Amino acid sequence: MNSQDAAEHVLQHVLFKDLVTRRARLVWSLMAIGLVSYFSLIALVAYSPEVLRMPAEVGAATTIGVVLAVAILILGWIITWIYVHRANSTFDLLSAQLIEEVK
Amino acid sequence: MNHKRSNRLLTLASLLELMTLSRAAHAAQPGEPQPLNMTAIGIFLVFVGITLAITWWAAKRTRTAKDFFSAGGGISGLQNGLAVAGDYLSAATMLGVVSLVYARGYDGLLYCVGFFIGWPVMLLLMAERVRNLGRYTFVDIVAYRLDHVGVRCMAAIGSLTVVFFYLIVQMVGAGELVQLMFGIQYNYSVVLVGMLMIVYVTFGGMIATTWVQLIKAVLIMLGATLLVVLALARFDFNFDLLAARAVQVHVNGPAIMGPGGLFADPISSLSLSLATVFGLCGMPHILMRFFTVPNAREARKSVLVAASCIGYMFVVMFVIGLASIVIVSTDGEFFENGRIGGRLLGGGNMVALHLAKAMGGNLFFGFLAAVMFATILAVVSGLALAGASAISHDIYANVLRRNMPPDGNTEVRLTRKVTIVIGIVAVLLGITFRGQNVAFLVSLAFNVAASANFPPLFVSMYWRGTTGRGAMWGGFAGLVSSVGMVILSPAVWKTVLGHEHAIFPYDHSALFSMPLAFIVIYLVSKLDRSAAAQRARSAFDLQVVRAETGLGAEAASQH
Repeated sequence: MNSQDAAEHVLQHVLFKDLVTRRARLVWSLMAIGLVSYFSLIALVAYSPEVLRMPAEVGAATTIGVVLAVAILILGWIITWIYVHRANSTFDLLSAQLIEEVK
Repeated sequence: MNHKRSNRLLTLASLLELMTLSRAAHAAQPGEPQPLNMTAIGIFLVFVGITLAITWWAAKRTRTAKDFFSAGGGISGLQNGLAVAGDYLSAATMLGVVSLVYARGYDGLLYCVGFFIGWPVMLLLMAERVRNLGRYTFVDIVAYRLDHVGVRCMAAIGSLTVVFFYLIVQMVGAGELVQLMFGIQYNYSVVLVGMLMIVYVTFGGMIATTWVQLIKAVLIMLGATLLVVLALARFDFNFDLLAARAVQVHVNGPAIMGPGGLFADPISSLSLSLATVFGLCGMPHILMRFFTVPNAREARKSVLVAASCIGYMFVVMFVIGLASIVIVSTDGEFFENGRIGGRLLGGGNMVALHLAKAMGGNLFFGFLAAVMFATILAVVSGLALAGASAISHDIYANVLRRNMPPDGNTEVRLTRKVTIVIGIVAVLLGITFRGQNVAFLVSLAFNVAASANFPPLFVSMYWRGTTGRGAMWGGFAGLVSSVGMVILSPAVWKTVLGHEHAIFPYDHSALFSMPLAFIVIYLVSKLDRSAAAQRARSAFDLQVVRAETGLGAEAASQH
């Protein structure tokens, strides 16, 4: 079977639809989490910077702003890790199974 | 209000100036000769020796076009992730961010967050699909089903625009920096960078470029880690103690630990954020790195590794910046004529290097200076390869000779020649722009990438209705509008060209030019009733199969 035909088969396969929907759901939820938190920080900076200037705890020089900014860096990394982990454990298996079945 | 506004715009302009080493440009004028730094030169020569040996080894392994353009697809995710980080963390970023934190504190950290958050987006939207659909350049993906000569031309022009803007910044930065750190004359160092870049790319292609970037990424992380550990040791490894000391010492006091006004205007900072996040997803030299791994799995891993390195480095740079406030800004040794609070020796971008000297003497200073030079080499090599493949693979092989495609060897031979030409042009541009304020070119590169490269690439992968004409006109609209707006912006119209008032009020155009590109793509595609448009739409399903499953994707070549 050539790859064109194989692709046609994949397209019709129920697993393929499953793969596409599941991946899309994960991608767009993670995108939303990442971008919403980043742009919330940017909005805080623009509209209520005084919140970010408050000390993170009583007497500390470190501010809430520093904690939030570092938290968003870490969140961005966690998003990356979650996607890689899910794709390795779920999506790759699904697509391997899919390609196996249409052969 | 007007006064406040112009103040803010000036600070944004000066921020960019910091980011591109052009402060160093002004500091390095004649009258301030730097002694030859033998430690730095020695360490740098060791780096050059090792990378040239790798180039020689890579040259023997570079037999086909695939080897040359994408290292045969045989780079592992870990290696590629390090190389991507090496490609992204330029000397301007490292020195610029530290200087920014030194000068303005928290705003520097915000800047880093913006430059980091593009990486999860790159992974979620681009990495796997780019790997599965692409071959040698991102233009291949845009043209995957949009069978249209104009699309390839447009995307290649967008690609070259970004590459050349970035290349000018790097060459000027290289000249200034090397003069400052090594005491080698500006023109010699620009020629040296150009020559080494030509050697790496023409002989070793993507394999050598990858290794140069990878080694440099490891070196820069080692250097920064050592610097931050030495600095933190002075504060008992207590970040809050460091922050408290920085607040005591800095003229702005506690204000440095909170937002300081660079991001005060919501429209301006939104536009900057869009440019950094989506500009990353349209950077040709970064996208090209995803073709060097064997499959989508390794492409994902590349981003995870790259994001870990880059995120770590940004946090480290913030801490280094704060430590410099305490250690460098209070030591007369680092100021002209020993006047504390006056001009820093070598200009604002030297902060990180001064801290290295304070922590580890001339040896550490020399090491870090050598790593910065290596960094410039790694970044320009990636840019040169991206530029050369846009000309030879996209324009020559797929547009000019589309009816009679040249074989891979011809393409590689041509790319080698084009690399030499790009190297010479880069040297000439570096010499021409000597002492000029080139800061705006970084902003231009990111805005063009977000407005001209990203929209066509994104819709070609995600929207069935995209047609060749739509992608082409949308890309051109993004290119022309982003270049136009940035030229009319305060950073260029006022600061560079010396006009009284800027015509466009923001330094970054992405908030306007990126949506414009999408709108034009949508409208033109909707109105496109040609047979080619029909073919493009009906080819979408099979493209999705390949993008999602990797079925039919380029495999790694066997050696």
